[in-house]
Amino acid sequence: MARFPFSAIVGQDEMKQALLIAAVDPSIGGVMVFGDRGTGKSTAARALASLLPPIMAAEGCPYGASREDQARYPGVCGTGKMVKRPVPFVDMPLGATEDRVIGSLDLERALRSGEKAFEPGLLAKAHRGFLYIDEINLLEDHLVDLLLDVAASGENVVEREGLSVRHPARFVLIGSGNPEEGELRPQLLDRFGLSVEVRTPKDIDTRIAIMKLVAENEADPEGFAGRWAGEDEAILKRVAKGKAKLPKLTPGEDVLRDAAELCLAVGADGLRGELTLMRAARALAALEGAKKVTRKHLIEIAPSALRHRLRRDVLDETGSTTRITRAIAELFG
Amino acid sequence: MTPAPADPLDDAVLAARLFVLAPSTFKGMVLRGSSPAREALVAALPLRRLPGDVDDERLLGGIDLAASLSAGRPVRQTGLIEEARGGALIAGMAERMDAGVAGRLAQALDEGGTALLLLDDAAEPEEAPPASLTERLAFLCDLSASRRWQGVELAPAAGRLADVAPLAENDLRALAATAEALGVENLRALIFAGEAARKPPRMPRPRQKPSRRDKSTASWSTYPPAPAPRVPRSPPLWVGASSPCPAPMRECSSRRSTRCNPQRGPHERA
Repeated sequence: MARFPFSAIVGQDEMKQALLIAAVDPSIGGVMVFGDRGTGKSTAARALASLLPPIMAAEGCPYGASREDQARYPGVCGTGKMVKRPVPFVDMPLGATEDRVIGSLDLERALRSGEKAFEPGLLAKAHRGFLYIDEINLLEDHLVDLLLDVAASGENVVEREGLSVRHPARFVLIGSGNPEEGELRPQLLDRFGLSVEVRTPKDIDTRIAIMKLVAENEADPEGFAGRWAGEDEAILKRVAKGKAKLPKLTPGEDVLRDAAELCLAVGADGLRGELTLMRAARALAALEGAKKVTRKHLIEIAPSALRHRLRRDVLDETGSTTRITRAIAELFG
Repeated sequence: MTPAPADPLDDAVLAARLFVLAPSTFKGMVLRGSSPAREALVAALPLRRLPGDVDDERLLGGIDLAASLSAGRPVRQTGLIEEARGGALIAGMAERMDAGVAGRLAQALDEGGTALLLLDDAAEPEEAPPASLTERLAFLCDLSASRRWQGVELAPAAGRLADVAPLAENDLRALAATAEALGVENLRALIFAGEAARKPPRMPRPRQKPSRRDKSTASWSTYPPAPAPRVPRSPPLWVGASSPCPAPMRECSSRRSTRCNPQRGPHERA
């Protein structure tokens, strides 16, 4: 089934920008999306995954291993030849068990040959792609801990049920949640690179535009995707160019100083805020095809990079955003 | 002589006919309140029961342990979601549904091909079927006040939704304005309303264009009972669902609200 095209998503610019930045530089560390239900959060994440060019992965490998993975995990990733496959997108169900997430004993193999083998879970499936978790605030704490740990280390280590397995699991974590329905611990929030807010569009014209597009897509998904293919292609090119440009961009001393001052002024805890702010500004500059990272990029991305790290009222987003914009106005005029 | 007042069952039957016409578009219904009317309605629909304690193997499919052991090789079984594809699943006591099961069902609804009927027997205000599911289903019908218990007939669906032209710009605008006036912010509800307007119910043959009446039908049947419009922090809405007889929707269905249960809207939290 054709996915809803990324370029056909109306509004929600901050979310789309954050997702594209994560695609340009996955090391930023995931995107947390706060907001109302039915605002196209999962549609946007899915659309992004299907827009990206296919990856080369070992044929039949449950981990979708790359050449480097094969070299690093010789026993796990095998030596199969490389074939094209789409960028993985894993939609993690609410209430997924630990078994399903990290993997478990392969019952089929145990039954067939009495062999103790590992059946990869969702983390393996998400390797080199996206792991989307709707309503992450309703997920059990120990699972969130585990996910963030794997996302940070890029590796899933299983030591249970008599299994001892280590496999690559690098993915962009996208969480979504409604802060009114339960909070995320600040330690966990801090691990997300960017956080964005999405609101249901209130403007009648925007709402009508969305209704029309959805109806059009429903009536003829293939034709609809075809009509937007050109615009999706343009976005894909921007991402690819941004990726190529990223290593060549180094934020100057002035931008680093701005970042440090801003973090101090808003009271963002820890060094992670500064690092993310700097990386995100760089990725944004790369995405825009800029020659260097400037204060403009920093200011543009600061709310997304910092709003979930402010010391008090972490989940009072309007408050955090206002505090950041005020600090920007005071510091940079 | 005054005509007999409308019964909530009439509205539910209408919603059910729309649902049967295009299950993959409307995704399903929430039927609130245990009553003979609800039983009659459920009996008229082709459904597959989903027990509350269903496990992952049966829901999503997996290895059939007994068959595998006896055959000496792995035997796969399909899950309920797969088996019910194209039809609909029904879950009783949906207010007690496990969040994990609800999450998997919500995914299946998003992927398409699955439709769901939730029977909501909530007695306490804080009890409710999982919001992750109710917001994805088009219709909410409260049958607890229905005085009827028979006469549910669902004629086989005639025509297709796709045969009726989508709403024109000014009709979409009217629906969006109605939603705004009612304080319905969720876009899914708006999209459901637009689709519901396309099939003129109680229509012997599908028409080429939705009529004025179809449009008003659509708005009362898919907009949730909202609190007073524009309340800043509104209680959770019945997003994407409807109450055929909601007190706060007098603008749309004054005739129907005459028999409304004066209680609070379903699942509003204090």
